[in-house]
Amino acid sequence: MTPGTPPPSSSASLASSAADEWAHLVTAAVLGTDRRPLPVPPAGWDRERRGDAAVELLDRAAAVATARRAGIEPGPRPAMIAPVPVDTRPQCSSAASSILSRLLRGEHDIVLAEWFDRCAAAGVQPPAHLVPTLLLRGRRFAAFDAAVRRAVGPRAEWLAEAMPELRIAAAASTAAAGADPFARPTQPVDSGAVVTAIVGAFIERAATCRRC
Amino acid sequence: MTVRPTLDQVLLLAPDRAAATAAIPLAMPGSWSAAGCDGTAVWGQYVATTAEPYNVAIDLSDDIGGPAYRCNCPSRKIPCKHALGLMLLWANDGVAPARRLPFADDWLQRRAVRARPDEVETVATDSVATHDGGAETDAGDAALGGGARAPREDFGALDPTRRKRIMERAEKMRAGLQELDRWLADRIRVGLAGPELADPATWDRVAARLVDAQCGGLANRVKRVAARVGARPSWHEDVLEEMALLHALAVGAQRTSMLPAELADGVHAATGLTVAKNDVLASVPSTARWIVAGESRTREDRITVQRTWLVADDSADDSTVSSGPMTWAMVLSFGTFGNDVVSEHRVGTAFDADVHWYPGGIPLRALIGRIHAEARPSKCGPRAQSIAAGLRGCGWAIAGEPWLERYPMCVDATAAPLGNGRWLLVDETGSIPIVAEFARLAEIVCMSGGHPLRVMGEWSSDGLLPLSIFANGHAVTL
Repeated sequence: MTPGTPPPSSSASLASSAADEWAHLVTAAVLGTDRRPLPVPPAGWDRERRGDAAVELLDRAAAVATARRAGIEPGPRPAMIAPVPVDTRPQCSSAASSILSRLLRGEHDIVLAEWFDRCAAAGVQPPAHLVPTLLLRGRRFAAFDAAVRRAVGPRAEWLAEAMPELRIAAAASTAAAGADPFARPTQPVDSGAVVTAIVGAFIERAATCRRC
Repeated sequence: MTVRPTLDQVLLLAPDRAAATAAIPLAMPGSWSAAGCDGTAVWGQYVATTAEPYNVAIDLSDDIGGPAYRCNCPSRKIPCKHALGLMLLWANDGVAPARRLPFADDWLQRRAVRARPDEVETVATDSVATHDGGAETDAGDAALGGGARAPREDFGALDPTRRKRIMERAEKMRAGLQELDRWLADRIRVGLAGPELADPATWDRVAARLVDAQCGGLANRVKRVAARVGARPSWHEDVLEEMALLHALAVGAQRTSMLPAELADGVHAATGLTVAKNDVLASVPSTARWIVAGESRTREDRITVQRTWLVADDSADDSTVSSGPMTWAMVLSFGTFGNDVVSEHRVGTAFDADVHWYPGGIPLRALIGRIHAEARPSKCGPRAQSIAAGLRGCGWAIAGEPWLERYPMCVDATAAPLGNGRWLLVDETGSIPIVAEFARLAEIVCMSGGHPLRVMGEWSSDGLLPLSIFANGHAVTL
């Protein structure tokens, strides 16, 4: 026996009788064999009768279930969506791709801007498998989103249309023209004072420790 | 080197709630004298309340079976509160590395000697049942199967206590399997619409009984069936299918002597009887260049199971052969205490090695034997089949082992929407669904962009779980 052995020629008739047999068994199993007697199996699925109806149902179900699972065939071809418009730029190198994925995990993400500058300068595309992460990140920062979409090209729009559930359709740009797309969100007004206080407390504690 | 567990993980090791509660106050440095640890063990003397100190040692060297404990207190619980207390202290960073105390060293060395000659893996296909000793397992399987297949050890020559244990284990398994089968038939008699099936406690009881009966593989399977109740509109079909396969396994495991040898081996692996690693490595190897095609992980109780999928690289063979079926091997590794498994093989690399398959209905689970050439990046990854050929491969595997839960395939296919957020992979031979709960769907869709993509994944009755993508000469793991 090798994988890929073609099924026997009578497979079509066996397939339809398997579907019938399975439907009968499921109905009987849902209602219970105490209430629903088992119908006689169709040709090709008959087997030695057991005294106990429940055991016989399990025996028959095991045979049909195995046949159904082992005989699975591809489903019909669905309507295909239009492919993404051709982007002639080459893919970025795998080294660049792994740097970007590290940046996106939060390692030194301060240099994300530099990554995109270099990407644009080299005229390459960001790696396609990171595009969803980039776009999802852009949902919160409009300026970042604009920069990502420029770098990604037509694939961003295509993905937004193909998977509306991601909610990454381009929003009307709210970022002021010329705004730094990679700027951190602005800090609250009094944050400077808070930082000074924390640093002060730390220095004071360090000094106390040295004394004792 | 063993990774230190968290406090929660230690408390999970307690045999009951009382032991866990009693252990917490013992996790004080003041209760212990000469507590120490090294890479594989923790030990100490409990001195707080007793005149004579209790000598406690814990062996952590068995990553899969879990820790082993020694304590000379009168408690019959395993682990006792003293062992748990010491584990808690250790988990809390309260035990420093030290030289082994003599009693601990004695005990650990005796254990190491005993473990070596018949090193056995206590985790079957996916099971987490712990047994002791490899020879018991082998001879026990002979006793259970009616002794038709040659036992690996002469059963008659074993000493009487050991023989008694083997017989007891076989009897236990037989009783557990019969009980499972009776329970399955009762459910069918009452009907799947009955309220009992919807109660998770029902399933937990059945699984617990199977663990007691040392059928760990089946216990885990029962828990997975429980999760299917009510999961989909057509869950009755899913559950009937699983119950029927459990029934086939329960009946088959009681009559392995009447089955063909390969099928009997497959039934044993699925119920929880395992083959010693050394016996697998003694089998005839398949030497080839193996491409690391993908990796998947699942959690089972306290253990993370990682499957590494290897596929034989036959691109060097003449072109007529390389359009045929693919040769897969699945290497399992385990992480305890919820820690992640360290990947030994990087997806997208290839290495020349001997692979030894575990005995079973189909060659699938394997051990890597001798490695002939170190891993280096594979130029194009695994070759692809059509979707129809991939499914035929899965069908062939299921025909060999009907209870098989997953089988790999590698296809060149395009992602296409089915509606309701579900997606298919499509090629000219047809389509297969991507599993519903797949978290990295957007990545696949985006990479495909409406064009064919090389996708490697695991097929199950829920659809294809994509694991890796090969594009532009490199691999992306999902």
